[in-house]
Amino acid sequence: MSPETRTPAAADRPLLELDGLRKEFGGRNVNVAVDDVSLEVREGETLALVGESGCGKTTLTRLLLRLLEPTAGSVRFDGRDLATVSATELRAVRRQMQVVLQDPYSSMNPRMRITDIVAEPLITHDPAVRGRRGRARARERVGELLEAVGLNAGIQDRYPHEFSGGQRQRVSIARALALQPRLLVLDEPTSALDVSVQATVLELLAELQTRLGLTYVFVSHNLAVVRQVADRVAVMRRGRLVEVGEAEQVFHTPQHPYTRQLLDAVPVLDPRRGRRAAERAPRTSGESR
Amino acid sequence: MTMDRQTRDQSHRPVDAEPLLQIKHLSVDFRLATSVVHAVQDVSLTVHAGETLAVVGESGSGKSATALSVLGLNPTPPCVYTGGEILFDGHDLLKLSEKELGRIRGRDIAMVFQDPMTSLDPLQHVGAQVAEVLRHHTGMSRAEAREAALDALDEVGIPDPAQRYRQYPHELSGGLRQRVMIATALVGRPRVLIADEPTTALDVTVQRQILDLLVTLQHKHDMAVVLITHDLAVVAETADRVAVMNKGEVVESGDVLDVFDRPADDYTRRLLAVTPRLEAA
Repeated sequence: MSPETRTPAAADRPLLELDGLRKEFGGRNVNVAVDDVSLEVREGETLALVGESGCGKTTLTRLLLRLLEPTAGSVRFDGRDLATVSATELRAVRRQMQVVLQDPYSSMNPRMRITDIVAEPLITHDPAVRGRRGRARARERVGELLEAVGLNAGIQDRYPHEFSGGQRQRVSIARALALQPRLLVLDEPTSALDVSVQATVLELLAELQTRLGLTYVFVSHNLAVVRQVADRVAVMRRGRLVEVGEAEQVFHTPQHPYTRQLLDAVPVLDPRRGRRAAERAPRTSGESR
Repeated sequence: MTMDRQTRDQSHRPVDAEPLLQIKHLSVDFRLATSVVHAVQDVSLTVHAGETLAVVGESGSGKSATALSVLGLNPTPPCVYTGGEILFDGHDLLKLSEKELGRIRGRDIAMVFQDPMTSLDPLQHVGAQVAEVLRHHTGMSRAEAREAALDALDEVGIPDPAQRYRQYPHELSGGLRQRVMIATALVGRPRVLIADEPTTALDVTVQRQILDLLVTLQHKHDMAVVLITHDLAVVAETADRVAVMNKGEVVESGDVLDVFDRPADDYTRRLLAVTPRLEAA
């Protein structure tokens, strides 16, 4: 699908709208994982969803991808309510929203070649790449995708274990891009990576967003990473959104006490400004304790 | 480590103070079926009483292998100590027998690991695991060890220690489990604590509490702490001195302020540059 054939989102209509979403788990002892969440994601922006473990951020991403049915509330993608669209339409919508998971080691089948991993969504959704004649077309497309994420198109016949964590995460991104989605849900995409590798993957994501006009829902527990990538930030706690705002505002003038608590807890990359700066100051003048 | 790198390493302590733990020219290989990995190459580190030395590096830098060498905890085979010495209390720890090391582990030098779920015994009450350290190292009776363990749980900030004593690790949150592990490490009153990524598996608010706890207990007991981490921000918050490791070697070491202000090595500079910051640049 080329960008021109897409329904242009009306300028004032968000790409994704969550309205009063609620998800309960369990029978007798009901656990409310997501509680009355309303949120809009605009086309082309990066919305960061932050919160600590167990806050419901992963459940929320599953609801918005419609991998889980909400107990109440609705998800609208490009104006269409995912609960009421037909099965055919839901398939079409699903092509436009893809996900990249945290751990590039467990999110790929170790016995599949790179080419099959990246081509899998194509084969599922596109009859033109099936069969013997389709196979050549699929390989060509996989080559383009691998090059788009900074990998060599010649690696197609190799297996995941032959690659580093950063390279595997690039393969995951290539697979997510195969169907030319408009929305990518990035669930802790760099949390398993070394910091220097993280930097290159974040760079790639920024470049792809600009080039392809992608919209990102970026789930992370790392506020320093969020600071670097987010246009807007939604802070989640115990299933609820406690604060949503422009990144600048949330980081500079957090409104909710929990947001302040989170920001205060982040270690500061400056030995003169961190928690121990005060006790360190007199010692730097050469005194011993 | 070359001399010009070492000259940057100025302690704020009197020159005559002996380091408590000294790693000298340590080299460690992992001899695998088809290849040899030089995990640690000619690494020298020192730490004094009351001081925190952070060893920072990415995966495969050799920081954990270095830390595990101190208490002889690298699996042998495939691990082979090919050179150097680790001096503590006039002994070279690399030359001690397993029995002699057993007397030092937990009593003189203790360790805290990243994941308390894999280091605590899932089938034993957490309190008993703290008491076990005392029973092993001292002649304490069961009742005495129990009392001391309750004190230790209290000291690491576990609310209602008497009730928690009889719980299993899976009944506790990640933060409480890490506190239990710190209690097991500190109950023997070690002079050196080696903490290998102690907060990496924790949420940021819990990480803050655990780092504060470690600093408080270190001051209280004048312990030397060797903190192994991948996170330069954790280094900035906790360390007096820092050693940066890359591919098995220490590429730079010194006072944390000096290294952050004027990183001498390219790798250190790059690591500082790519670490995301909360404050906009």
